[in-house]
Amino acid sequence: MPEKTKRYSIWEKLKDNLFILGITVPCFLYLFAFLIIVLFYLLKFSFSEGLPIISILSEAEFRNALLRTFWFMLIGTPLQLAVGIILALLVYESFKGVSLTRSLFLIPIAIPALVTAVIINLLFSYPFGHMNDLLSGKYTFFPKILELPLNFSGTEFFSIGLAMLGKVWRDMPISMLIILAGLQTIEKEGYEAAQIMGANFYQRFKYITLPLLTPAISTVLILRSIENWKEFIFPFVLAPAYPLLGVLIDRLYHVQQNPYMAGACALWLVLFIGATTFLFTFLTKTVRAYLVKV
Amino acid sequence: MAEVRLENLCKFFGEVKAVDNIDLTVKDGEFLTLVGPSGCGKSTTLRLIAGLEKVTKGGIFIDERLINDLPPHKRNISMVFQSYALFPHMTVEANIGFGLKIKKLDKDNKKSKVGWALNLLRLEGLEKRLPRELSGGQRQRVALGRALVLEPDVLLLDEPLSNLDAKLRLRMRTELKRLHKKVKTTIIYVTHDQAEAMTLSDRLAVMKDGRILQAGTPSEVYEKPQDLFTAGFIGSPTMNFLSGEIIPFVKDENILVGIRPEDLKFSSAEVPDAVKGKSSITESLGSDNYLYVEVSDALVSMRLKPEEKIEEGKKIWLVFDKRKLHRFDKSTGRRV
Amino acid sequence: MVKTILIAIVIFLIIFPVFILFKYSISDRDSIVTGGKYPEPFWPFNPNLKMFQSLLVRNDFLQSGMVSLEVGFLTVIFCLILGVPTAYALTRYRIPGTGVLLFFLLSIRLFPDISAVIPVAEQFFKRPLSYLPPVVLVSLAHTLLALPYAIYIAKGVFESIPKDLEEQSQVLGASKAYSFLRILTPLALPGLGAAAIYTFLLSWNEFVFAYFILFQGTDTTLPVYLLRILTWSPQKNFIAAISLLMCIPVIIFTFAVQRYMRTGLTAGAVK
Repeated sequence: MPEKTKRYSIWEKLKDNLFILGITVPCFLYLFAFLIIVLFYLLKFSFSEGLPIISILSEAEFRNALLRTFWFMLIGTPLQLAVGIILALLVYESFKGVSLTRSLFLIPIAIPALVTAVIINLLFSYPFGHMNDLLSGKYTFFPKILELPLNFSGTEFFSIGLAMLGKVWRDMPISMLIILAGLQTIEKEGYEAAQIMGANFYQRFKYITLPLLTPAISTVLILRSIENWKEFIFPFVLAPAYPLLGVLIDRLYHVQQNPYMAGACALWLVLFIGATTFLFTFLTKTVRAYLVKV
Repeated sequence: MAEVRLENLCKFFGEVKAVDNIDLTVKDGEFLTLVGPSGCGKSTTLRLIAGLEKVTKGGIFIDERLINDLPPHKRNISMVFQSYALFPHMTVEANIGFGLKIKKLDKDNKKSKVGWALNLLRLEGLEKRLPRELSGGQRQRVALGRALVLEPDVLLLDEPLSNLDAKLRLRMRTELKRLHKKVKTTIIYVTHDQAEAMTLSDRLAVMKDGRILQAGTPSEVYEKPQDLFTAGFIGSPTMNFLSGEIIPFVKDENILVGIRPEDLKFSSAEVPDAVKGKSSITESLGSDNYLYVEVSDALVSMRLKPEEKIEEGKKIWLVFDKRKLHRFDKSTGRRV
Repeated sequence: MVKTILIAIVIFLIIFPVFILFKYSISDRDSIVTGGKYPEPFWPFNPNLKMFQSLLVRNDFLQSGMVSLEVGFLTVIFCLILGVPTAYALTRYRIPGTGVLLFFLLSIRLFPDISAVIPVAEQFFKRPLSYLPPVVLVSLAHTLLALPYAIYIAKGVFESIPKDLEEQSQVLGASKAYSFLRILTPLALPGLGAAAIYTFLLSWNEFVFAYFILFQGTDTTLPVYLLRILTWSPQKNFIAAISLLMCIPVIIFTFAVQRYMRTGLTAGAVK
């Protein structure tokens, strides 16, 4: 008798698990298949004859692209964080029309990245466009700064700067939302308590807001640095003459028809992203520990 | 230590008069409670004293110094919030030491003061814990310690016990009393719980609709409530109210008579000046038993002696303790 | 006061580029070809809808729009079929290793698509997958990208529906299937609709995978079409009109599903 009961329950368990397996396995199999494909080809290309993963390191265009991407990431990430914090602080406390303002702040995310790049292209077009007309003093409300129109996409500084501008503009709602969610977990009474104890605005920000916001800040830093490393569309459209790593991968694959080098470059990009993520995680932990100390 | 005086204090939020012309003096070292139903303006009054809200009209004085326009930290007050507002990322020690850190106290001094607070609130051994690792009562004590370590002239407490369970609340009441005896700071305490107000305070002020209805010692307020609201609000079970015309020795339809349950007796036979009624259910609270009596269309509660018992549906006569009778004007609600 | 000014500046910086796109799309020739004699106007001299009229009869444009629609709908179907049951299982059953699974999903989002696209393209160009129509291949790739979002949003939807409701209906005598269909599904439908829209938008905007997979073929999605047009150095009003038409469904739907969008954008980011 007890044996029968036991067998029944095992059968039931199996049936239940079969159901769960049946509805989850296809999904994860699908994702897993892609994972295998991606890893397989990246490793195959990178470690094929001549070891492209090593030999690419001595290529000048790879080194240049790496350096550009590194600066793009290093400047773009804090910039996006700062913009996120400022926007979040602007709409954090409620005022009349706050929800409309918040909705307006979300507009950039509704503009496809490619379209954003197109708009920037239009605004900064050469030789005549709004920005060039503005800088050469054609509008009455702005002083003349330039004698000759500036070809923005012809200089490394401006073309990559415009790519960064596009990236910051389009993605600002994402950073804002994460910081906003972080701010909303902080109790208002905590500020009042600190205020009564004599903490001024700066001290409240330093001792309370900042440490309580570090999880959100660290999330933004990590997500943004990854996004900046892998950015493709903006530099592809706005700075084609000065490739970042993503653009270089496309160039190697489509123009030079060299999937081996492209694969090696792609693998390096993954490794850089991993290293940066690790570094930022470690950094934000250290900073938080410092801020919380008595 | 200090005396706090509120003079014609007003706080309006647009059309809403949250605090409406309050006059109140809290003496040096006194434990004063602002008590009233939610929305009566008691918390706003406290926040005005703390400096978290701007005064609309009137004045707040600490030791005869007008402090209306001083920022909170220059008033030498401390406040404990209903939610405690402990900083979740700081240890007990860091929480208590926060105000001292802001004041830029040197290390040794700070350490000894924090130690004093830990000792005073029996928090030794928990220094390194984070708020989330503490029980409700411990959090409460950290919040008190954080306020007291600054040695404030005035300590403001905003419903500090309302987040605790019933048993702990009773224990923290005695703890608070002990603390007040020890530090002798002026305390202004806000609660909606009349029992808390009665047991804790030296004096209490009953508030409603932004006004103070009555201020006095607990026994004054209990024994001589100045109006209907206070009479009904203070005391549990609440005071019974009966129309004057059905009481033989009052016989006045403009008067509402109030009588507390413990000031009533019953008799099974008719006696002079008694009111006829019918016994209803008996409620037992363990030590006390309360009998409900139907009198015309009202239900009157009265306290029974432990040995007394009575069946439901009996005809009885309620005997009033005439010295403890409260008379109120029906139209104004004031005591007469 | 400072805050109000700052907010006004930010709103200007957000609205201005969108306005400029609109302005160019309705511009006449004189407003875009100035020859440097006068500044480009902020409002066209003769606003007109000619660009839109000519676009709506252009075959290559309409063709790309159709491809984008097909890819989008296929992606939505794949994502819902694969993602919704998984999300349901992850919320309703205690599955060992759920945390690892969610982390895995998150890491797909973080993996650089420009790195993943080369292996995927290589595999898709080989038999047997190369027999599939390009539209299906692109939507298979888009499914990979959108699936984590779809699962996160659907998971949020199921979490917001108390398990008690299903159990109550079963206690009242309904079968598991009946309570799933009649109780759970109607409640989950708006949220799942949002997941579908989000998936569609992601596919509609996606460029990298579509660009690599459709590189040699004749079919193009709208973003790929826009890029091909860009290489001809076309007139500003033409490029602006295409861009604007591409944006319109995104803008409308984004604000329709704003609430769920936040979950998608910040999924896993906020504890």
